[in-house]
Amino acid sequence: MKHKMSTQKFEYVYQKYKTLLFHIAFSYVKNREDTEDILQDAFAKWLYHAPEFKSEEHEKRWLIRVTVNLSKKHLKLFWNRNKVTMEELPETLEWNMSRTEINLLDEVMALPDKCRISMYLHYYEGYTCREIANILKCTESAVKMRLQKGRKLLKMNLCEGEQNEIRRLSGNI
Amino acid sequence: MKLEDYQEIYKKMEMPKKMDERIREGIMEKENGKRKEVNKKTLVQTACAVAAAIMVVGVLQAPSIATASRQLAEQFTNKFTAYTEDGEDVDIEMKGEYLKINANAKKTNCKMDSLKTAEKELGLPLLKSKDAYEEKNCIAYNALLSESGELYQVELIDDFYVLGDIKDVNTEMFSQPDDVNDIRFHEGKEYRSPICMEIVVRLNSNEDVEHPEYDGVTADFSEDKDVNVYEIKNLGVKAVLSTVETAGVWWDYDLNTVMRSCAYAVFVYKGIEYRYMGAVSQDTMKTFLEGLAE
Repeated sequence: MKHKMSTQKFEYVYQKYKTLLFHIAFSYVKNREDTEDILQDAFAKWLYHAPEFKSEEHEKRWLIRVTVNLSKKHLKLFWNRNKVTMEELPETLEWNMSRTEINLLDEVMALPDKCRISMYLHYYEGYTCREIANILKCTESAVKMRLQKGRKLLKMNLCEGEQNEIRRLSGNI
Repeated sequence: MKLEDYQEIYKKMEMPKKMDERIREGIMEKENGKRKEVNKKTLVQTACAVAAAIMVVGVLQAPSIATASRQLAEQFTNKFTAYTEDGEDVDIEMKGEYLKINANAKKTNCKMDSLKTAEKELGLPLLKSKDAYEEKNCIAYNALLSESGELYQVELIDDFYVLGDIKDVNTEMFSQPDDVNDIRFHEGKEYRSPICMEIVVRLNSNEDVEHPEYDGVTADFSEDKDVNVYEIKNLGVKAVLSTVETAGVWWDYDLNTVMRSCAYAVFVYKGIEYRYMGAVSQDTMKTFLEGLAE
């Protein structure tokens, strides 16, 4: 059994990763209550069942994977499958978004789960396709396909500089 | 949608304060509950110590690098830690090597027609299966360059390396390195998907240049099921086998593809890391592994 963490260490890790894990869990379950449950479980798992991490990056990837798995497990439950409550969420969650941004958020949340999480890890967190494949336990090519589909569904047009940066991240240049 | 608009949305998606407080409270409650649970469990463990010690429920690959000055090292250690239900660690180590390859090996991504072509390119022998499905452009050759433009890693990827008994196979192969090859098929009895292959060759250099930091973590088994260590008799090396729930083994054009149970194997042979995954049983994966040879 893992030793109890110091309050200081817990606070450091919690503060560092809470937003990242919030984004991931919320992207899957799309509601406040379930996101809370998943984050509680993810951090509790970190407290009691985390292995010895070799680096902060290792710890971060482990937490991402645990959160993804908890979110997927949650969605598998029969009564959660169709529980999507996106209406008025930006307001109830105190996000200061314009009407245009709320519409964009709707589009992002309407993406298939696989596309949405791959896009988030790539375009927001900056992970390469290889790294995402390791985190999500899928192939690198599957990640590339999901990004391609996600861009198409969002009609995301990247300027040349952005395309080069993305190719670099994907390991394609 | 512009990339910056996409990123801006997530920047604004902050965790509400009340949620933050409730999560902390929830974790503290779990912590208190867990303490009681631990005490209770200790008593049970005394009676079941022998049984629990051999029950491997998870494996974590926690590699450590042999030396801090990475570019001068020739070897590194991938340490796979299997942990038991009562938290006992069982270590399995695999020696990886920073290898020398042909000086004129390609520094750009491309597609290749077989592993034999890749062997010639790299000047290294690679493990191959006699059952491999080979077609023009079937292998993606990924060349990873450091910021100074030096080649530090080569990856060879074939997403349908062995087809087994899958039926009605229809492939579309692309020559451009960015284009992912496509396959359509119907499941077989033994192979519910092809077995895909990833080979990772990490390279040595005499030049005193900065390589991107390799933390050695290439796969994390801590959430996998049915984790086993299997000795590949034909090669004389140990592989870690696990069962992964995934939908991302083949080209899932249908994004709602159901999750499947896949066998995943990773091992190091002569310093090169080999990974295989497919919707097959672990026994089928073992048979496949035994058929690998240079």
